[in-house]
Amino acid sequence: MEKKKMTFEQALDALEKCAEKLRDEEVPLEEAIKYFEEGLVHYKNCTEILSSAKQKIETYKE
Amino acid sequence: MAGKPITVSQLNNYIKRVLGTDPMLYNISVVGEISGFKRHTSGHVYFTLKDQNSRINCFLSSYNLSAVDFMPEDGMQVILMGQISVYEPGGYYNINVSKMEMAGSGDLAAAFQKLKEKLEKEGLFLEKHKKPLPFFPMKVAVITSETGAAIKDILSIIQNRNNICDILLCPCLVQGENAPADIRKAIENVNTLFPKTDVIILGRGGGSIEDLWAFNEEIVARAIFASKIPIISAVGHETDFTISDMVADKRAETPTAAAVMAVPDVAELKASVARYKSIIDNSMNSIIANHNLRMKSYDIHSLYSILQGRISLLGMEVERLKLQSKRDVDDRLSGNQMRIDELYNALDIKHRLDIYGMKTENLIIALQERTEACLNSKNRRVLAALESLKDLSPYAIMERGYAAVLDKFGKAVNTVKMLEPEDALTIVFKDGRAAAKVSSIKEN
Repeated sequence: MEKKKMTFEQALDALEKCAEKLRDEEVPLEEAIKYFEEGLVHYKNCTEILSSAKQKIETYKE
Repeated sequence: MAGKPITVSQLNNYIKRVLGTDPMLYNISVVGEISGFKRHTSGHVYFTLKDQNSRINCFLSSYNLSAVDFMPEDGMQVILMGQISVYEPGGYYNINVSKMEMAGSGDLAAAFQKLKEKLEKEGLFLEKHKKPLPFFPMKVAVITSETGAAIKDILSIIQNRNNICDILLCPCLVQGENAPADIRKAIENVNTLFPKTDVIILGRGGGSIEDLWAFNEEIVARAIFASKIPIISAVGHETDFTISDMVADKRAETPTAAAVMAVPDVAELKASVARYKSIIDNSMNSIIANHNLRMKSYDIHSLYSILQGRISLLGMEVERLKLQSKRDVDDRLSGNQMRIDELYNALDIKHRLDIYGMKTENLIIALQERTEACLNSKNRRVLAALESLKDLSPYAIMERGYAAVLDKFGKAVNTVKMLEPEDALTIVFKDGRAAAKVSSIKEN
């Protein structure tokens, strides 16, 4: 897994992909574990971003 | 009394005839404000035209509506052309509209149409130029009036939905002569000074067509087109269409709608992230449960005996290796012992050599002693012999007058056979030597 910081959209996409892969009953156990672990990482990233609540409001006036 | 009463029908019929034949009312032009605008399912349009004191019902057929080049709506000042017609059963009259124009802003409508065609021809409205809106913007710029209702609506909607995305407010004029240049400047400023902005909301609240006119100006349209940052245009109400809306990457019906479009609802996102998490958890649990079940269905006992077999094989191997290594160690130990023995023996030889050495030394000493003794006795005998030999020496003979003859090589001549005539000779006397030459030889 690349360690580069993902954007929220990328992390959410990746999380969704993991969920889809895991929904497949035929997925081999090793892969399932991989997707599960990846999914947890993406889930953590997503919730971290969504919980950041760091909104700034500024005004630009010439 | 005003004569004999007539029926209602007769009266309405009479009014219809009077109004219908009046040349003034047959082709009239009326200016007023539209209100109560209603479009029937048939496509015909009903509305009221009013001014400050009075109103009149109007009818516009779907056929005539299609010839109108703008979308009429309540509040619009329009000029209608048509004729007065009377609806006998209802007892009322209206204007049957054949043509409708925007009042006062006829020039504006024409300008709008012209600019729209021009920009359309240039391709500014093409779908391929539309930039997608970011799914999860981190910064939204809002270009609108500082004082209007729009800015409050946009702010409150964004803040309600999203507490992550930064908001950059760029106040500018949105109506009046200087508005277009001001709007352009704001768009350019956001692009150059805040290039990390993900999306721009450009707009204002509702107003008359004149109020909204800045958003129909070419410089605004071109600034929107040139923006590297996607722009949502939100001008006026649902029914207001401006050039800005057409050039922008996205049109929102209202500023509120634009705010909804610009930022995702964080609460919704949290819910869907949580949903994915539970899908992942549940799926993983069921996958594990499945595998557990499958594992249980396998014959554990045969697996056990296979493992037992392997374990005992491995045990044997271990024993073998143990033995082998012991043997190796033994071999090496005995090799070492042998060397030690050899060395020990070697040490013994040295010891013996030492003993021999000592013995030899003793023998040598004894030999020396005996040799010396022997030599001493021999010496005495030699001296005695020398004394007796003295008389036999050639010098003793020479005392008696004999001499020795030596050839040229210094060799004693003891026969004439060694000599040739003219050979040089040396004659040795007791007290000196004399050189001589053979003059002749005569054998006995």
